Amino acid sequence: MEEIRTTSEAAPPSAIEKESVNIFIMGKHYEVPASLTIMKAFEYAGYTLIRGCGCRAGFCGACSTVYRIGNRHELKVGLACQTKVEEAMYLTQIPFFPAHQVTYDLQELQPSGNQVVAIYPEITKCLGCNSCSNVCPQDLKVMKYVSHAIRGEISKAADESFDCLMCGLCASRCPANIVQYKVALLCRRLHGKHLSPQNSHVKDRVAEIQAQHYEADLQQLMEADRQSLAERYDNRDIE
Amino acid sequence: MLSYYPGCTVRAQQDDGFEREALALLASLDIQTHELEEWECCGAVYPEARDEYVGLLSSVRALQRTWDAGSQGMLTLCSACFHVMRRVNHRMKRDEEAQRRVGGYLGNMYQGETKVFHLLEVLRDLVGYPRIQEAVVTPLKGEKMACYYGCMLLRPKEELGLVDSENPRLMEALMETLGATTVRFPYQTDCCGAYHVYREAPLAAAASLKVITAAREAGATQIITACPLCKHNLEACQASLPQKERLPVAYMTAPLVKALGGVQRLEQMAFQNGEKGDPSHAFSGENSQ
Repeated sequence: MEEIRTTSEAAPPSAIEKESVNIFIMGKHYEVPASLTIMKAFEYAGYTLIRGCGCRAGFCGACSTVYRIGNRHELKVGLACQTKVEEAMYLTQIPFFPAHQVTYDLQELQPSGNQVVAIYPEITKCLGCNSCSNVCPQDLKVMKYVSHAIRGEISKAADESFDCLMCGLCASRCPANIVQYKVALLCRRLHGKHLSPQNSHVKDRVAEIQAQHYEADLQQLMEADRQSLAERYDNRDIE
Repeated sequence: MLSYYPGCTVRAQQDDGFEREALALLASLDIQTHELEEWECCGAVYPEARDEYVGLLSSVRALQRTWDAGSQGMLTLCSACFHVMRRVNHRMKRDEEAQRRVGGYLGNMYQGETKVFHLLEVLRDLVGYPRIQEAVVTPLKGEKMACYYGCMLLRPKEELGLVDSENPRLMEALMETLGATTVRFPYQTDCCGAYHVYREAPLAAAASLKVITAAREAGATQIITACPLCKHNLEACQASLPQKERLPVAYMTAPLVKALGGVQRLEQMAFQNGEKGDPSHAFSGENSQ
């Protein structure tokens, strides 16, 4: 708080609002504009990101970053495209985490806890340390959805993990070597395939299309001239 | 109001009715329960190592949440969950090092303030046998119950303190309230073989079969327990017996619910009394569509 002063006190320019901050990328010092995200700071510093970089909009989860500030001991995490640089930030990108992965055929699976345990048996070794939830940049209750999965509450696990970006930071911190985000993905798949109510509309519509129900209408549109197309467009139903 | 801690096995095997019966029973007897919003596995086995604290975390978290909810205490059904919760609580009351380490990690100052109840205790202390006796509609005449305690409800006595661990009469008193006869049989407080069933199945089967045989010889028509693992072992050890030699194994809620008119009646009563507790979980399977 002592750094905040008003301009009328004629403080030195560096103390007003810093235009640049000092950061340390993999231990090497750079001075970068304070307005940048971690990802842009990387590029400002001359890095070309070919891994650990995806949508740049906070959705894909590819750019997980581990950082620490100054003399504080806590490790923090964030998505590089969503987190602003701070003074004395020590950071690195995690380009890839060699997490365990299982191939399965969703058609053949049962939506039960035993099924999830059969595919990812390590989930029953959860110690309840909550490191996964503490590290999640999406603030998900990771331990909670793993608990749901252990006791066969597949739909609850799917719901609780819905906002997961699969950045993998939870797995990187787990002392029981659980790959939480893959467990969550399995639960969401089981829920979608086997537990959520089947939607008859889609099935009916596909059947109609296959039965060439709309063929005549489509043909009419394809044969229409520009003026009648424009008319139809202008007079279309708008919900 | 009691904060309800279901436990993994009770929840995962909810089709066997233990949870549904217990909650319907309590709701019909005006005991409100509310499932903890978040809970994890208690560990199933109490961490005996004095210098390892990780095993205490999930239990302490659940105990703290119960305390934060301002409820009367934590309700457990599974005797293993009861065992672990009660012992962890006992330790957190007395062990300053555990308070410091666990509290430091979880960011709280938990010192064993929460009261941990087993369902049997709730029925005995919060409901009372006279109240249950009044609610009986179909007395269990002709039933000879063997009440099997196993280990988890009883020992170590100093830490659990539920009942006389050498001569427990808790389930007996409850069953007699329902009009049933109870039998005395040896091995009532012996181990069923527990987790040996996974690595040394014959050993577990021998231990369980000893219990079953003793109960049968004492004239029992069924055997009841409060423990999912005991129930599993007592059933599994009889798989090779001819049908007519098998002794039916039930959770202790089954005869209670039967004597009080069936689970649907109890649920209806609870619903009509508006005592349903939290409707989101109490009577419905989570994944049922």
